[in-house]
Amino acid sequence: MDTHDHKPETNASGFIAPTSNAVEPEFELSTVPGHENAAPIPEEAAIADSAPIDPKPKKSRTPFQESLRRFRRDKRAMISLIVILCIVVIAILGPFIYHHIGGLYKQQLGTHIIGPDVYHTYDHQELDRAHEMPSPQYWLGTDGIGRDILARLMQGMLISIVLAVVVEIVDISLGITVGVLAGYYGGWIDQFLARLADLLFAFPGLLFIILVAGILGGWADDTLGAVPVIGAGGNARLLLISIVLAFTSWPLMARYVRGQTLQIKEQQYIEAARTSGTNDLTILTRHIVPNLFSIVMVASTLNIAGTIIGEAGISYLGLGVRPPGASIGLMISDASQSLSAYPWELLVPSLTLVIIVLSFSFIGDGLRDAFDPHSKD
Amino acid sequence: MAQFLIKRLIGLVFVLVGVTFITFIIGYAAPGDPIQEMLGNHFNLAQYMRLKHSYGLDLPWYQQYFNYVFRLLRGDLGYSFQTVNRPVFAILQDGLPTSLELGLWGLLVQLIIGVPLGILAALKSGTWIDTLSMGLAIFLFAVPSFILASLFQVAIVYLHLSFGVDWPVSGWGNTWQYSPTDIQTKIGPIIIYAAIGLAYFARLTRTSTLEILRQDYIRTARAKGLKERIVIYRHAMRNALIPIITVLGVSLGFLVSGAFFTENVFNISGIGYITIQSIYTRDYPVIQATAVLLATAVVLGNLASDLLYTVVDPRIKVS
Amino acid sequence: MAANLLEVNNLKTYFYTRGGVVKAVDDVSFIMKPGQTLGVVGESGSGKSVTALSVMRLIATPPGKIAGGEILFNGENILDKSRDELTELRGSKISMIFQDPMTSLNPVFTVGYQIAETVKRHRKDVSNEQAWRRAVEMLDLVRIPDAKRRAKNYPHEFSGGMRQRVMIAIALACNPQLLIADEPTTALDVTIQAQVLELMKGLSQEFGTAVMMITHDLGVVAGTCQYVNVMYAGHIVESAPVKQIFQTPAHPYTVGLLQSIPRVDDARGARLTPIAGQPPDMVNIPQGCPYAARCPKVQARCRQERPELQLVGRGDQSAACFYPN
Repeated sequence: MDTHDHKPETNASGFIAPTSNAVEPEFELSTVPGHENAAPIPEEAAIADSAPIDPKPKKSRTPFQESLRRFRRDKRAMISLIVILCIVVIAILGPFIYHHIGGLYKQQLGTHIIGPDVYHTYDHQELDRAHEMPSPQYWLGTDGIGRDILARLMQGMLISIVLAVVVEIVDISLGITVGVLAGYYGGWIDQFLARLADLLFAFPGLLFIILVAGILGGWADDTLGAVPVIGAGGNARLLLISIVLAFTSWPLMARYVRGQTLQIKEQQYIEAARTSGTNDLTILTRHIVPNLFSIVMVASTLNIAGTIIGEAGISYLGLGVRPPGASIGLMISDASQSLSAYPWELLVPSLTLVIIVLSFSFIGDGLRDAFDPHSKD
Repeated sequence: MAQFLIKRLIGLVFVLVGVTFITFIIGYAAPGDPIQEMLGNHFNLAQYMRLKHSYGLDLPWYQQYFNYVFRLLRGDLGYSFQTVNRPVFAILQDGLPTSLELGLWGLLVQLIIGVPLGILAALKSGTWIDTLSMGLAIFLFAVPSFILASLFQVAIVYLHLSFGVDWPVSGWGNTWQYSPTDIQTKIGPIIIYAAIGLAYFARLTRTSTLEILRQDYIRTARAKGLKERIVIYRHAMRNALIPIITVLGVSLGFLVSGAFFTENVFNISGIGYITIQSIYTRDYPVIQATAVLLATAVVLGNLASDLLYTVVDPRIKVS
Repeated sequence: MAANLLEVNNLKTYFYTRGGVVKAVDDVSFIMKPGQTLGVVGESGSGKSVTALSVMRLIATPPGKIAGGEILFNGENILDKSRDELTELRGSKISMIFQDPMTSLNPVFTVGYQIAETVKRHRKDVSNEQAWRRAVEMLDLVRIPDAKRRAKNYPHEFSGGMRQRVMIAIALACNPQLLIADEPTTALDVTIQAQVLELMKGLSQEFGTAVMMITHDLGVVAGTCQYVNVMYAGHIVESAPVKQIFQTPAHPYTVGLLQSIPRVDDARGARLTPIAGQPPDMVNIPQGCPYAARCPKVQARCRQERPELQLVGRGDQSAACFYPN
């Protein structure tokens, strides 16, 4: 009856949703079921099929290495991984390089002469240069108030990445701690986790974040805005959102971890360790936590996709990053004010967001297929 | 069965208490004094105290919470801060029919398109039909609805400019009415609203159908000489739909979060639109009321899908 | 001599996999007479189940394919039949029961429905009530107590042995001429096995149904079959009446099989002799006799050419061996 303890899956309205216990099969053995005399492969054929083992016996691999090898062979996931790495590099290093590309520019409205380190920043406006298409000066054009779209995009990607990292740090550390304790000891902590997860499912997707961002947004602007660097430049609410996103994701992570811990706990070697007098702390850190690696990795990758969409959505609704800050969601929102005339401005951030989200989903799917023994069949 | 129901109902009460408490405490802890804001420049202490008292804001927090819950139980959702003397209930009443209409159509479209698409993909697994429909599903699942909506609007404008096609870009028309113009207005929002759930159902149905088609009892059904049509639509589908029913509750979550975006992008004055507007105006009672309303809807929806599940799967009754 | 009920000639069923072509059934021929009980014996991967599924035309395509030969049922080639003709045949003239009763019944329908459905499918003039009565009658026949009430139960409310009885009821509901039983007792407890086999034996005699009993268990064969085909690596290596299989096995593989099972009448302390080695890789079956690699009596010729099934001069007994016992 428990419909929640299943494989993680993210969705575009944010966050992980429970799926059915059916595991997506990667290789279909009995294909084309609609055919007149289709039937599952008889056992014999399957056995015969597996009979020719590798002609040259190689060094035996650990299950982990085996999974890693399967993951590396997953082309879709590998391409996605490369894409994500590129985006990370662009988001972090891009602005520094971009600040040094381009000549001096004499402002038409002002009298200043400015260099690329000014007009290639994400919050610099050049009001008479609004709605431009890509040019040597503005590589991806400008938005409605003459800001460089590429600069804003890089800042937006950076926001997404930083947010994803912050949320995952909280998600993973809280999720593992509570999940392992709940799974290993049961008792009140298990009850607490179960109730918390129930509560979380009642606040679907963005509802909780909208609630918090909406009510505490003003307060965040005042107080968190005073925090240097991370809170400045319209990013105060981002801090609030990342706290809330982390808070809403960890119970789910904890549930997966709890399930996995329960399974590992039943293994013979844990029993053996316990009877030979190993203390709980050693069992937890030596035997259980290392075995959680794959499920945590899969769940967090898929959660990242949800986190990034969540932030974009909140910023799109005007409850997240505020001007002059840049966020992909905010850029989409800005562009949709004038989308009929300048679809280009909408297309650039939209496409970027879709690519990031799809890449994380593909990596997550690939990891799941590679590390989840169920998906082998 | 009875035990299961009781357990679910206890869980339900717990969740509702949690939901009301969280919404209350967030509003309570929220900075700023709403009464002061309400009075604005016309501030005078006597009126301030009177209003504070009449809203019950001068009581300790736990009393405020109990009052809040008891008022909720009586169906009294309090008064809006924004429009003085306007009951929150009346505000929700304005938006609810529209949101229900949108939600109902969204759910229908999700199921009517998503499930058959998944079945088709499973039956034609490995062919281009499978690849195409699952590619579409992955895309729709990953693209947020506000992007889809914006792309839709760009397309409409483009069609208008190039071919003179007249199609409404936003709005909802008359609630629960279906004149040709109403239908025209509603189609776009409904499809975009349903897209993510549609993709979710399509993927789930495909997986579940493939899983079922591998089962021994399908081979038995074929060995009995049943027509392929009956093997698929009676024997396989009855089983493949079970996991779909269990996630109807999940899809309700999609519907609720989707409403915020769809209603705002298309300017549809439903609950999602009202919520966001109330956030802009810091109308806490309205925000709290919508949060409780939506969370309750999701909890009840989950309960309904669990009950439906026990009806469809005979194995549940015994355990 | 009565006409043959089933005549399989040079059947070839191959599976096209990534690793290569698996010749699961390669050039298999045999006949069955009406009412006869034929045992098909072999270890996993010998092609016995694939043979049965080929007769039912239930081979998954792809990756499987019946690559050649003919299967004559009452003189008509099943391989030429259309999809509709096949579904008419299945469940009515030929029916099949499977190995795992726990997964072979649809969990969301009552057992009564699942029997009645078969009856309705194949008897056009039968009303729903009549079909249901037939279902209850069949449950009664397979000795399910309180059949009338139990017909309304779902499969999960039955034990494994009971479910296999239900499967038998489904299979026999339309008085088929041929019943294919694919390891029908393998998944059951030993005590239940005997009951189910007795039941099948009794009912098939009562209904005059021919039975193809597929099993890896020679004990099952000894108790139920009149005639036995021994399969190895996709070929029939020996074919004989049941008595001769046990008393004068001709093929070294049959001899090996018999030596590897315990017997009640063995002298105390007699050792069991397992067959050495592994079955061949089905993708690259070596030239010559498929059993050559494991055969204690192997000669140079065995590695060169494949022996055909031929009479060994003891009545109906034939073996695919150059040097039969």
